[in-house]
Parts: sequence; structure tokens; C-alpha cells
Amino acid sequence: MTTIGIHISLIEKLIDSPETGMGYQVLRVELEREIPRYVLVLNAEIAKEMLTEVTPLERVIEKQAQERVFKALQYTPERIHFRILSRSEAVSKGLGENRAERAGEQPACDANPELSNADERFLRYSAFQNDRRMNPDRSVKPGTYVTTRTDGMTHVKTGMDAVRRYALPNPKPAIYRFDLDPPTRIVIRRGTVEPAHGQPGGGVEVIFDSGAPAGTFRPPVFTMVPGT
Amino acid sequence: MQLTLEKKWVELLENLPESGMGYQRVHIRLRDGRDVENAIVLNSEILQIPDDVAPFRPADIIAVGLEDQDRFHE
Repeated sequence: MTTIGIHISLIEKLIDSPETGMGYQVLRVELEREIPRYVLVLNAEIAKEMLTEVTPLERVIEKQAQERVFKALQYTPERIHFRILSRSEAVSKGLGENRAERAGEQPACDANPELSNADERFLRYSAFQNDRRMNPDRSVKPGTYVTTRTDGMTHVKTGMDAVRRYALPNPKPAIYRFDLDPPTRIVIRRGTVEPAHGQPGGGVEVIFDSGAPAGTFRPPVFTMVPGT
Repeated sequence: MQLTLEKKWVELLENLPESGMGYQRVHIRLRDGRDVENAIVLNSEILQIPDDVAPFRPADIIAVGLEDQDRFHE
């Protein structure tokens, strides 16, 4: 599945436009002399997929159309005429709602890579104060799992909260919290923690696919209460 | 059973991707020829072995691989 970053001038328009659902917009996109097509956009900046249902015979044609639409979204926004569907409109057309929500529910390992948002911050919880994914220069190793600051600060007050929400296999409370503030945008994958190890999961999980640069980890390590 | 991995495995696992926050799912190969699947390593150093596996020592491990990858590192 192709994922592309949208041209900055379109991002600004999308930010000022209403969402179709939480965190996403369904765009009805028209290029000159082409039929309208529907595109799922996440966070007003990532075009994720075409939503048009196609038969196997149409697949090649639609794949070429997707390339044209995505190229225009990326490089020639002036060629694009679009409007954003309301939630009810998207649902009535069988677009967006379920597929967009599903995209947010899969585990991070199945998600497409994307760039973190500018100034986006993350947290990591561990039962170990000497977390080995943190390097001496405060960079983070590739392939490290974290969560968003929003998810952690909203839902995790104790070490056991972290064990449950991120379905950690270690039954010891993950009382150490590492604040991660990448100085640049980095490649990540986002998803939802699946139930595992007897824990419910449900938290936001993020993979730092290529790690994070020096200075990302902001000490000190915060120590939470263990909880029950 | 839980045991602490030897330094060479810790250094290897530190540089391999995680399976979730703070842990890696691994399979290990032992000197006596056994392969142990579905083990979990915490913080790249603490190996947790499923209960049905007969005990062994850290020095008995001759290879380690991530569960979702089809190869061992020796």
C-alpha cells in the first residue's frame, strides 16, 4: 500500500478544514478529465490509500489513477480540486469510516511508515531504569517501541497501568518513564497494542523504525508509583 | 524459568528490533540440539523461558533469533 506526504500548501488547507472522523479526512479528489476518486488522509498530511472499490479487472486502471492522484497531491496541488466528505456522507458511500478506523486499530508492526509530527513527543515505560534501548548520547536504537506522550500522560499513572495498557510481558510494574523528544521528525509506525501476555492492551504503540537522533531522551528518568 | 543472558547475546539483542515496549520474542538454540521457541527477553538481557522447557544454563545457548525472523544469530 502506498503512503505519501501531501504538499505543504494542501496540508494548510486540510488543517483548516473539518475532519471526516477522528484524525482523518476522506477527500473527494478530481483531476482534470478524470472521474472523482476518494482518498483517505491521516492527520491532514498523509495520503494513505484510495478508497474506491474495484474489481480485479479495474485494479490496473485504478492503480495508475492512484499514482496520478498521489503525484498531484504531492507535487502539483494546483491541479487538484477537492472537497472533504462529512462523516455521514463517507458512511453512506461505504467509504472511510470502517477502513479509516481499522487503519488506526492495527498493531504498529502492520502499519505503514510515516514521519512523526513536528515537535511530537513520546514516552517509554520500563521496569528497568537502565533501559538498553537508550544510547549514551541519548539517541534511541532502531526498532524501539514507545507510545505517544498524549496516550501515556492521559492513561498511565502507575507502573501497572503501563503493564496493562501496553500488554507488557514483565509482570513487574513499569515504573520508569522515559521522556522522548526527537529534535527532528523521524520515521515511525503507529498502531494499537493488541491484547497479549494476559493484559488487555489498547494503548497507542509507536515503533521508531530507524531509531531517534542524539538528544531525543530527555533525562531524568521519571519514577512512578507501582500501582496495583 | 528466568536467567540473565551472556554479554554477547545482550549486545546482539540491543541492536535488533523489539517485539513490543521493552521486550523481544526470541527463539534460541541450545548446545544439546534443542530449539526453544516463544521465549521472551526483557530489556535485552533477562530471558524468560516457557514453563514446559527443561532448565539450562546461559552458557548452553549457542544461537538466538527473533521470533518473527527466520534466522539464528550465532
